[in-house]
Amino acid sequence: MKRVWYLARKDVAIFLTDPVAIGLAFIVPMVMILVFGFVFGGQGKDGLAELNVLAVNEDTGPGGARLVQALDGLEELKLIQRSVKENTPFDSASASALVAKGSYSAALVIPRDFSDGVADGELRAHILEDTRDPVTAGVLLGLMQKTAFETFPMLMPSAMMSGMLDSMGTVGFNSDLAKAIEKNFGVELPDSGMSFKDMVPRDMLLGDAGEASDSGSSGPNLGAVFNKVNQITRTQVVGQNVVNPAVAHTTAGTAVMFMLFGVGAIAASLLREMHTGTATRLLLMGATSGEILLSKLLYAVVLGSLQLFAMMVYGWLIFSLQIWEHLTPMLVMIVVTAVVMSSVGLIISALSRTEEQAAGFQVVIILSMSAIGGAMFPSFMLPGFIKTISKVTPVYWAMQGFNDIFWRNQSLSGILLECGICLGMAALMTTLAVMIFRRRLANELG
Amino acid sequence: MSANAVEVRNVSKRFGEVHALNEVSLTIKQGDFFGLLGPNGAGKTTLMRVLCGLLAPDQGDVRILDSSLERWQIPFAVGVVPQDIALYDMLSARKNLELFGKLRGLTGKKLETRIDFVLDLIGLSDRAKSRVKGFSGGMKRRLNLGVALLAEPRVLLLDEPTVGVDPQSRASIFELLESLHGQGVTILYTTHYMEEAERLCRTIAILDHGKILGVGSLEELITMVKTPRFVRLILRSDSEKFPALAGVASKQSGLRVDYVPTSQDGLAEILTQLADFHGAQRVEVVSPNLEMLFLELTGRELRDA
Repeated sequence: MKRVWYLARKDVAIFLTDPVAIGLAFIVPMVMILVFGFVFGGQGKDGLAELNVLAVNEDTGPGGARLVQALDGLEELKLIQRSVKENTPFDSASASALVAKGSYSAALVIPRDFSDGVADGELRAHILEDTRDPVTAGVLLGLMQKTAFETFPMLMPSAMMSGMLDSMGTVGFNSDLAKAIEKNFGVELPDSGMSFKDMVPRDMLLGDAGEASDSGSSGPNLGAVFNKVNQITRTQVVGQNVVNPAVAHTTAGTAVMFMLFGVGAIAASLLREMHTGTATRLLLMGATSGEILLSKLLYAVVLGSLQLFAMMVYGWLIFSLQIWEHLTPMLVMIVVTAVVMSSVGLIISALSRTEEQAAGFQVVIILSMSAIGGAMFPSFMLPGFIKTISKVTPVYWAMQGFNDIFWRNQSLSGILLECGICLGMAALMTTLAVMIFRRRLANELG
Repeated sequence: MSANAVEVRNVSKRFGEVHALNEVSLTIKQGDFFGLLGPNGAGKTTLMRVLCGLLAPDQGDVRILDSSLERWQIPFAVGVVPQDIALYDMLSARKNLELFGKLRGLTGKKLETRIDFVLDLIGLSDRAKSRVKGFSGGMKRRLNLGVALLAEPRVLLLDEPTVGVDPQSRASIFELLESLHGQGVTILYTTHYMEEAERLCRTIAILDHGKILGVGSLEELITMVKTPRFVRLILRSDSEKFPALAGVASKQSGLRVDYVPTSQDGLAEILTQLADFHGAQRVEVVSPNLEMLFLELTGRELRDA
């Protein structure tokens, strides 16, 4: 047992010789708690984060404006009605284009006859949605219905009454009840001598309208009533032809994240070269520090590209991911992703002096970038400020690129922005890594 | 063209408070086998790194084959054998040579020819396709040396190339170096083994604490030794009491007892007197050597420094 103790003390002593690794051992989990805390922090406590939704009000009457105003007052929603660039209100075409482009997940279009619809007991609206983000459109629909019934309180009761009357044909009302309804709900009812109990079947009053209706009782069909009121239609403006929608993101996200782990191995390889003296020998044989580092980049790019391509093929084989329809842009995006992720690996290599440090940096950088960049879970799930921060990570742009290809059916020209940003980031990180590595080599050689 | 292959003028290098090199000057003539002898930490590797261009001196300059040395720019005609075995373990001997040869600018047929030549020279032709990982320490050392020979160097810089090598491989490396020297290659060889410097080097510089303490041929350096020849007695064990000889100064260090005569004629007399002593493991006459010179110059023994 004493030997075990001696051996353990030896490992502790070795560990204590690397203050950066000690720091990372404690800092890494703290950083990860911070990152995941921010990512999931809003959930379960304050409900959903504020959703940005486009709003187009084409209503010629007053109802549309009232609804928009009410929706705009909700904490959960931020309605964007005007184009900041052109300072003009959106129309359904421009809103549809922005949803299709991925700038927003959903748009609410209030049609010209919205006010007429309310007067007829119908809630007419149109939701344009990107179903890659099912949350935003779903929440918008719910909030829209809730707000509409609050804003137009007579909408549901009048529809119900109308429904009842429709379902009961010539059956009359108790005159007192009829008067009360006439007074409170503003509808005109036929005179009758029936009581409310006579009019509404018992089983329906006890709560099971569906069964009552299904069993052929003579009560009103509330489902049909609601369907009559709810004239909100939903249109998927993007991704209609995607065979397996969730897989496009899952495959790309998982592949990008694990590629990051793969390129993290550059650090270990470089450290090994420095410790065994081969890096010095390469310098002695005429290679420069920049060439040594760039060779690692090239190696990682080739390996990473093959890995990503293999993952995509795997996605195709198992989940019918539509890779062959998008082959050219996908291949370009794969190489660009490999380049930018490899440059992340270079930075980790240049910063790490020991393998323990490299492992620490790798976990912090890779997991936090994957979490906030949208590789672990879709970016629409992230809180607003994390979404903003995520744009400084290469993972975000790589994921945007893959989503544009597989979801938005973009060709090569449609991913130029993502490619440009990724390559710019790669150039910056590679230059930094070369500078750091050159200085480090100079220091380590004396 | 200058007759000098390497010229080092007033080179100093400090690491914090440590003077790794302190105004070092030395000249290595073309075709010389030059030994840089000194204990660990003397500054040999630092000087070697300066000569390789891996390290910029704080002051002074270095010329190799008539050219000023720029940092990171190793002249093509200079081969360097680092102290570390700097090879890729998972690659074969040939693949290692191929990689380093290409980095040195060799390609095609010339590269192939040089690789075959070097493999033959270092005795690894039959293991060319084997991974370095499975090589013995001596084989790795030879391959480490072979890499430096790929570009047919006119100057070869070797930083303690026999560290951790078995006697057989050491002898093989010595033969190889002597052969290269015979072909006109200028060699700078750093070592902390006096025997290696004495056997191989035509010119030897003694380096300690970053300073050159003496330079010359072995014979010239030996003449600097003040201690005359003396008799050394090695005791069988600690319990043996060594005999005191009348009129002869003696000095004990562990099992070793040195008897220094007042004149060279006294050597025979000491040997006669010690002949009857049965507690001796060995008795030998010690001639002036580099070890003694180092001791006289620094007050420390080379192996203990």
